[in-house]
Amino acid sequence: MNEELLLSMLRHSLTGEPFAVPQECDRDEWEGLFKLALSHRIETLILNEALSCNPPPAIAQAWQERAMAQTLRQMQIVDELHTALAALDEAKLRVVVLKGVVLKALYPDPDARQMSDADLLIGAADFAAGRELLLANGFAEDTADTHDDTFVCASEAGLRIELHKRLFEQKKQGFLAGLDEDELFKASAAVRWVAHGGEGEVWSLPPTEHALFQVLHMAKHMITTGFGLRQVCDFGLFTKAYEDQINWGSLTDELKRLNLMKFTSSVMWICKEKLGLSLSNKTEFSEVSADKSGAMLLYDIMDAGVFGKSSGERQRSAAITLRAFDSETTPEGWFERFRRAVFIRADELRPPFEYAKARKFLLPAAWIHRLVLYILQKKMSDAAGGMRVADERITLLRSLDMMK
Amino acid sequence: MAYKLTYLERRSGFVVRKVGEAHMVVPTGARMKEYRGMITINETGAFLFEQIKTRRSTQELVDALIAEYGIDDKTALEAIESFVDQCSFANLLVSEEVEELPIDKQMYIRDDIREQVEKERAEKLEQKKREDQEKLKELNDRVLLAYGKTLQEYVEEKKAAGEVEPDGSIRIELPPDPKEVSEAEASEKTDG
Repeated sequence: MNEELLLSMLRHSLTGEPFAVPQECDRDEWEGLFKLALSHRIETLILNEALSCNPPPAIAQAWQERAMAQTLRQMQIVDELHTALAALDEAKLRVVVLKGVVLKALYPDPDARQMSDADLLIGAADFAAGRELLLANGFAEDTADTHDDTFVCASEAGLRIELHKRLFEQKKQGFLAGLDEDELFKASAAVRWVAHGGEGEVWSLPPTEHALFQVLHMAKHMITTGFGLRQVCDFGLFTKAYEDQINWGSLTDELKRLNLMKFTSSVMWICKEKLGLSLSNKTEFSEVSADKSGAMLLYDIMDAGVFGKSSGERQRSAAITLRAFDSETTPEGWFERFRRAVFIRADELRPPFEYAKARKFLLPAAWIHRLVLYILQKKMSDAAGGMRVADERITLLRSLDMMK
Repeated sequence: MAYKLTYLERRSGFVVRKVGEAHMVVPTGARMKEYRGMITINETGAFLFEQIKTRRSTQELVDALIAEYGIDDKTALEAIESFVDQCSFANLLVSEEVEELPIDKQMYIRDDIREQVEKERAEKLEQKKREDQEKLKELNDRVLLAYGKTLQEYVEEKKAAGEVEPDGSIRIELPPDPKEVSEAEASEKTDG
């Protein structure tokens, strides 16, 4: 009940299409609905719809307060971002804004569409200068997430900026192997774009490239923890708003080349069937049968929350799913996956176990350390749950033609 | 009693946002750096906050509230007072007081102020009436002294003789007032 009601509320929020007010919902159902909205970060988007259903006063108040706090936070974040962009612009450093304030402008209430970080693309030659400028403007580096191609920093107010000179990890398998990012996503090819806040315009990718980027971004998360409703809303609104400006022939050619047609069709099926965001007549996509895969994808999305962070099981499934995706052979059986989960490779270690990356002789110590930590933090059940979720997700990836 | 009229204007950099069923005043732009929070206000407060985007008198705000909500002036003024208290506490307003309002602009002032003003007005009228009566008596005395008849008799005779001015008034010809003559002579001596 929660999921269907949530989707119908979201549909109304985005398109104005009427939704059926539920006859009766007890407090537990309302709490479940509120939590589901929070996990997808759409509680502000569907606030009016929720209030129109007369929820219990305590739920209504909590929802109202949360939405107000989020609205204020979004206004602050957007203001900070535009201040940073103005500083970069003044220093003649062209940065390309991806998603974020460009997509916000598509929503009936832009501040209701939450963003927590800003993805900016910058040319490799300007990367160091961009990094220094952000540091000089009060942003503090997040050393845990910064790596060679991405500088991650945050302001005191909570705006997190990811400054990329490269958007996707270079891989040898799957769709990322076929991606020529240097050709497709060039900072130099950016165009002026309508955006929410500031002076109302920013540099961003042209419509076709931005649509492709959104698909790739969802696909990237799909092979780890998954993604949530917010990303689907973004894509649906974007393709609908810029339908006439997107070069559909070029887009579908690239998606076919990357083997993402089924995936994209499934996303578009959700946009059309569940959110009321359909395109006029894109025959290439309609020829791809997406009813079943779209329904499976929707199930995965509803379970995922934003970028798959809805549960510990989900997050633990990510490494297993990703390993399966990267594998050059047929995906391993259950025992092999378990063995890899416990006796992890050095290059896959994350904090606080990275001490064994450079000192491989410490790898056994890292295995024991991980196991002890899991036991102490009672994560054994999560690990088992994680494998179960990974199995399900790998099945889904196969149905989407994203894996063999 | 003297009273003041207040002009209100909101400080720059604040806007009203409606979220769900609530209205909130939030800072924008440079204000965000000095003001990290928000203020929740009711619908009437949100309406008033929009009104004071530009400088408005309390009078104009009362008029606006009456036009929008069909309430009486007393309720409107109470709403404005509550709004001003809340926004002043949060330092959202720029206010300015000006001098006493002309009597014909005072239509919507509070009852107690209105009563006081009407009382003062009545007293002024009474005062003027007394002064007019004194002037009339003085004139009557001078006519009596000059012509041996009352002012009314003098006026009746002039009307009977047809000596009426074009605007219907009667011209009274009197010798100079001895008091004014002596004051003028005293003033000439001083200047000399």
